[in-house]
Amino acid sequence: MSTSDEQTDGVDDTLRFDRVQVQRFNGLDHGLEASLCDGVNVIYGSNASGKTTLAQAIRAVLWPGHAGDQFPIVEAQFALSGSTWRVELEGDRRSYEKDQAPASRPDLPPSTHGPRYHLYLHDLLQTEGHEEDFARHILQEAQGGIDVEGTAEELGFEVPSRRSAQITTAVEELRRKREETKSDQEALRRKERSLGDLREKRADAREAAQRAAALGQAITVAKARRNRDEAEAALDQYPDVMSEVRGDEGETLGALQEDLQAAKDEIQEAEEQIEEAQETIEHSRIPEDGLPEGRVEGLRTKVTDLREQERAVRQRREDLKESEKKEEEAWDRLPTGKDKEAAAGIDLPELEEVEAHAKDVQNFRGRQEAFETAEELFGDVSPDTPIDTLRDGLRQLHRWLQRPEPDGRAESALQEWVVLIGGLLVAVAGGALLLTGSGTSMIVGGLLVLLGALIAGAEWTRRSDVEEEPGGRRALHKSEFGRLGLEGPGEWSREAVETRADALLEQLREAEVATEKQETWERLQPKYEGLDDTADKLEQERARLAEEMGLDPDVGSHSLFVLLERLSRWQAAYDDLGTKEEALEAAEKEAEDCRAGLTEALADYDLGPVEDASEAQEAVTTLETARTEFQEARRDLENAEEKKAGAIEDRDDAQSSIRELYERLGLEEEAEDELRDLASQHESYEEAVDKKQKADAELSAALKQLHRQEGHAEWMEEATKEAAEQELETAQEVAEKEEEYVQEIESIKHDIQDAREEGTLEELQARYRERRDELAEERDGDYEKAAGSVLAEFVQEETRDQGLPPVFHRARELFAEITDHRYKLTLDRENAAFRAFDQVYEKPFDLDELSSGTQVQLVLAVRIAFLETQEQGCRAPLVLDETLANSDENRARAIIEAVKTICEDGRQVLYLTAQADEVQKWSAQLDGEEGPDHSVIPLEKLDKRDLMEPGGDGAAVPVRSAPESLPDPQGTTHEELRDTLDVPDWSPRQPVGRLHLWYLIESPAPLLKLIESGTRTWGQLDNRYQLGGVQALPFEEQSFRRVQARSKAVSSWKEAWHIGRGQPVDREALEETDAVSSNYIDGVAEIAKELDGDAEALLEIIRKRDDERVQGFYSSKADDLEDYFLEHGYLIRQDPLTPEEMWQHVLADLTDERADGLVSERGLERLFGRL
Amino acid sequence: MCAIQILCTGDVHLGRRPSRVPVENDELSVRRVWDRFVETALNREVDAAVLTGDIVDSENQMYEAYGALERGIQDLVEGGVEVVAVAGNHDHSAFPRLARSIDLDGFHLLGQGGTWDAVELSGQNEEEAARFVGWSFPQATEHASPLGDLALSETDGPTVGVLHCEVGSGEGQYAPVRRDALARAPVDAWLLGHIHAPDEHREGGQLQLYPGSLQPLDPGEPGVHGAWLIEVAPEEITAEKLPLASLRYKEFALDVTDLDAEEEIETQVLQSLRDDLADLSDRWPELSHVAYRLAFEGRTNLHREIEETAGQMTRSLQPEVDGTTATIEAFELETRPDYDLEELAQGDDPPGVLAQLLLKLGDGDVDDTRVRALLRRASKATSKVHESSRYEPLRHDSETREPPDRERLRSMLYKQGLLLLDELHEHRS
Repeated sequence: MSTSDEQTDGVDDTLRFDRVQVQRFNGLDHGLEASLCDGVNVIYGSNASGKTTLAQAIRAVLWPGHAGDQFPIVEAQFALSGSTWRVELEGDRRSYEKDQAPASRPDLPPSTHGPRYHLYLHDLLQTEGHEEDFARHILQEAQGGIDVEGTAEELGFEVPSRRSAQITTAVEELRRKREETKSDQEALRRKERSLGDLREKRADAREAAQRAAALGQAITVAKARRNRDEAEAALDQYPDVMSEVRGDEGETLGALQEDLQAAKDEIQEAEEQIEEAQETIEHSRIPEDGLPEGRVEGLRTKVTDLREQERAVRQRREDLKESEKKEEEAWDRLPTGKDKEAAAGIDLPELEEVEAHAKDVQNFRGRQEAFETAEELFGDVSPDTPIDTLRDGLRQLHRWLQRPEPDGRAESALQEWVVLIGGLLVAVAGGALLLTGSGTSMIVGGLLVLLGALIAGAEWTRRSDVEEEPGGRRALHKSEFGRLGLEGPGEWSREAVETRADALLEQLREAEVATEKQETWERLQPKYEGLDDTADKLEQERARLAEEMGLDPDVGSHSLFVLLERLSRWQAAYDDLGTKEEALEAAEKEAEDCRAGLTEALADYDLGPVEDASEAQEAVTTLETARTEFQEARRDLENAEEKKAGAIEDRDDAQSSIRELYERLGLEEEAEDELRDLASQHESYEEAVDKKQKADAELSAALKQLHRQEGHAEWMEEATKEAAEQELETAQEVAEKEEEYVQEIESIKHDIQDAREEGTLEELQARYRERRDELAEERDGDYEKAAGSVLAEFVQEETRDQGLPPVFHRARELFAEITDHRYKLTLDRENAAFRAFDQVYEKPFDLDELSSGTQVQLVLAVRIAFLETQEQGCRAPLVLDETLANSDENRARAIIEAVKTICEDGRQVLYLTAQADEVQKWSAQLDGEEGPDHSVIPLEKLDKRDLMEPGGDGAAVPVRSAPESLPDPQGTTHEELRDTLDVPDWSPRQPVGRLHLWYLIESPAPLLKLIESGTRTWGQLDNRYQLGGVQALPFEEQSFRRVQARSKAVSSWKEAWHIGRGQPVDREALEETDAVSSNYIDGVAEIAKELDGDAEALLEIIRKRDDERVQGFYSSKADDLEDYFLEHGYLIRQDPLTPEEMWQHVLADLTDERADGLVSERGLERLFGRL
Repeated sequence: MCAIQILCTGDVHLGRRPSRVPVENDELSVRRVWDRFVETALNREVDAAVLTGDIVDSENQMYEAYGALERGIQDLVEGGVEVVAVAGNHDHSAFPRLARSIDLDGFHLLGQGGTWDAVELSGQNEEEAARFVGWSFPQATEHASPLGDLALSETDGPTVGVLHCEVGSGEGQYAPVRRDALARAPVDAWLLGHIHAPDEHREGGQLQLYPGSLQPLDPGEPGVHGAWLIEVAPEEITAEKLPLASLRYKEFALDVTDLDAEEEIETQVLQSLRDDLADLSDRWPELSHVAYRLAFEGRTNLHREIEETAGQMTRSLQPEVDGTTATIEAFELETRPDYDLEELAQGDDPPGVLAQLLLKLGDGDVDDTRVRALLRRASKATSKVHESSRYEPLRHDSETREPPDRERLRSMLYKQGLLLLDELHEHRS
């Protein structure tokens, strides 16, 4: 569809203003006048400069009722359907002229549509809802309403993004384990194969062990042999005779020599003893034959008898002397004068008679003495003063003292008590005498008792009198006393009276004692006078007795008795003396006889004579000694002779033994040193012999043992120790390994047994297969879902736009045109919303995800599509009001692009702006370019300062980046175009839609044509193709199919390239994970962009943390990020395909195209060469 | 009896476990069935046991499988059964290893090193005899037919060929041979290995027997499996299948046309399975487990419900009848919508367009531009899934390495298309 076609058809229903003149509007005079071109009229002016007025005026001239009531005056001229129209508006009145003739109002869109032609661009972005209304409207119009996508979703036709890779790991793990087990078994199998070798080695080792044992024994043998040889050599050092030597020869010889010497000495000693004994015998007083038996004993008995007899003689003599002494003493005690002979003849009276007489005399003299004592005591005694006078005088004195004047009475009382107690004491003393004494003392005692009683009684009586008579009558008593004629007290004072009374009392007592004595003597006197008769009788008796005894008659009675006794004693002593003398004589005789006998006996032995027993004793002892000596000498002689004989024998024996000793050792006699030397060697010789025997035995045993050894060899028996040791070391080295081999063999066998029985591999294999099948089932499910998803998508694509009204298709067409086919308008049925699919980046966008420029483009496309489809009458001019928007380069460019497209359709556009730079952009973009007419209508003078200088810094970027001048397709090669067109590099991480067409189109002419029309990428081209088919493209169908085939090859190649490589990481992906915090998101997103989204490289940079944008990034977060990448396919643990594999992949994909001849392998090579 | 009795098996794959069955059930292990094979040979006192290769699985040939193989062969030989074996691609090294390590007169590994070998065995009464000729894989792959080297002298008695090979077009990497080439060889019967499906085939009177895997190993090996009892007499060679396998994979079609409500699905499935299981258990007493693959057929609008219910029942449900258990290892929805696609395809709205596509996909009209475009896009979309890191381990496994092929994509698109159409149709109505 193109404007030019319509124009040539002459059916142009487009209304275009040529000129507008506003004199008055909105109650204001303006004087505005503008000449308009057919295309874009950029009306520039600051606020209130009249832009809106102009726009309103245009609307007012077309649709009445919009002019207000302030009497507007507007005049305009426009072209419609080939005619020139003029309209004047004055107040309510409109007048039309068609080709200068009055005419009625032309066929214009209804006035209600008027506002649709005035679009406030900023409002398009702000007022939400309109587009939704449109979308809803479109949906309402669409038939059916079958939601394939929703149904597919319901069926789960989407390969789920599986977060957990547990089963994958499990399968991998099981496979690994199975491989491990297999490789273990292979290792075991290798070991098993080595069993033969090991067994041989073990046998060798075993043999070596036996050999080692034998060699050990061989060493023992060698040692034993060496010992034996040494012992033998040592033994050979001794003389042969050593076998005869007993070792004790030295001692034996010594002992024999000693014996010999001892025997000789003994002989000599015995001879001396013989000589001595013989001499003793010769000189002895004992006869040669010796003493008769019992001789000495008999003599000794006689001596004993003699001693007894001598002792008896001495006893008799002493007895005699004692009797003589007794008789002399008894004699001496007798009165001298008497002849002993006579005295001896006196016949003495009876002794009892004399004794009785002596007793009578004694009694008489006792009685006489007692009477003489009494006479001395009591005779001739009489008191000076009568006792009664004394008693009265004392009484008067006491009574005086008792009369008044009691002073000192206590003292006298005390004195009185002394008197009383004294009396009593006297009486007690007398009593004592009376009781203990005899004779006179009893008498005295009796007197004293009496006296005491008297004293005490007199005092008691006096005291009673004194108390009975009261005082005051002293004078009376004084006179009474005086009257008694007693010596007075000197003065009559108390003291004097008392002294006098005491004296008087003493006087009284004496008087009383004298009285008592007088009375006693009177009683005894007659008895004393009767004693004289008795004295006479006794005298007579005495005289008779004296006479009888021949004694002096005057001898006293007492002596008589004594003399009688003495005389009788002397008579007895005298008799005893005679007896003693006789006994002495008898004893002396007997002793003499005995002594004589002894003297006689002893004379035989040249002993005596003996005088007494002592001498006899001495002689007998001498004899006895001689006999003993004699006997001893005889005994000694015998002994000595015996001894001598023995000693001679011993001597001979010793000499003989010594001789034999020498002979046995083959030595000359006297070769004592040699003999001793031999003997001293005996012990070491014996040792040497022992040693050799032992060594022989050991050697023999060792050899036997060696023979028993399994590893025994002949040579070992004679081997030296060194040789055997050397061999042993070698053998041991080998033998040591036996256990090792045994263990290794056992271990292998054990392992084999285990491996055969355990079934681990079978189980692992089974488990692996089970899990693998599970995973494969899951994959099958995913395959099915993927296939379902493809099917659903396919159906959806085939039917997507079915039933959608023409307005939608028009909007899509417009939007694609406006965006140089970059975007494709789609309809989200579910949400009733428009979306834009980016053909270059192959991504869909919601409206609000688009840049504001693209949004405006989309909205404009939709609005205009609606406008057009509902447009009635003619195509009225469009007013785009951008006066309120700020200058935004991208947006401006997008709008210019959109407006251009609209104008290219033939519609007149009035673009109102207040931005000077916007004017510049319009100029920059439209000047000198093919396209719609355009003019800039400044409503005021443009201030040059507001305009930016064009070019250079790229501030005013042309909307289309096509080179300002494209080369001539005829003279340029495809290769040259790369530089000329500044073809950007393409990487497989980029969408194929973004691929520059240079890569796909080798022919310069159509390529340049497309570039010229703004279609630079495959995405755009494809969009164009989808909208308009091949007709919309500068290609023949076949040529375009070739381009298509190439683009498919690139897709396939890109796909192959992606195997083993994750999807590119973009900001969106990073924002979806928690692993990148807001602090890092910008930096990381930037890096990701720099790396073309290579997840692995990104992770590397993040982990290194060298880049300042990721400094401090936690490594745990990096791990999280890696997990996220893995789970979501940004990172793939798989090796990328090799170039060859990629090539195969592409070839496989393009089988049909190749078969159809659309593309050749060479062509593909060229294509990939360019990439 | 005047024939030589042989118990034959191959493709035992000792060391591997059948897939998609409860792993804890030891009764299902290959080893167990191998033991049963040995027991059967001994109990039946056969003259020979013939092993046609792949007795051990190469993945586990080192010890676990090898041990079982060694024990089995020892038991057989010691029990008086001669063993004739050839090595297959899986046990091309295990068999020679066994031959080297055990010294048993009764064990004959034929054709070591890829050279034909022969051994003559006589029956128990020494009257009849048969010659066995065999060829073993010298390595894991063999692109040429081994029959080219076969040269046999004439013999009076019957000749039995033992060979592990891929019978078919004559191309391939596992000793490919053509049937007619087999038939031309002067051999009375071929006992073959490599193909896991049992196949008793006669070509011009010559027996060409694939005993099939002893125990089926995956759902791709349905049907009755076991060993074969072969009687070789001069005039006739007969083969009888002994169903020793304890496991069976079974595809089970279930018509759901009559189901009206979601609740009926489970009951219907369970009841049908129980009936079938009772029947199987009755007929095959050795059977201990059946792994069903359900195919829902018929016209229904309960696609999604069936898919959900079946999904829940798969591998969790385990009915048991007379000691035989069963699981649903997988299911397929082969139901059709209960409306007319042709009619729908008249419209140009989404259901119409979809119906048009489905008709083409259903017909397999892959030359149609739209179908091609669709397949291409589906291929791309599934490639993304295929290449995703999540499924990386699958790409390392030869069995899961390949992305879905065109046919698979077509089938997926068709299936998903039906689901989509179902939904769209419902919405519209």
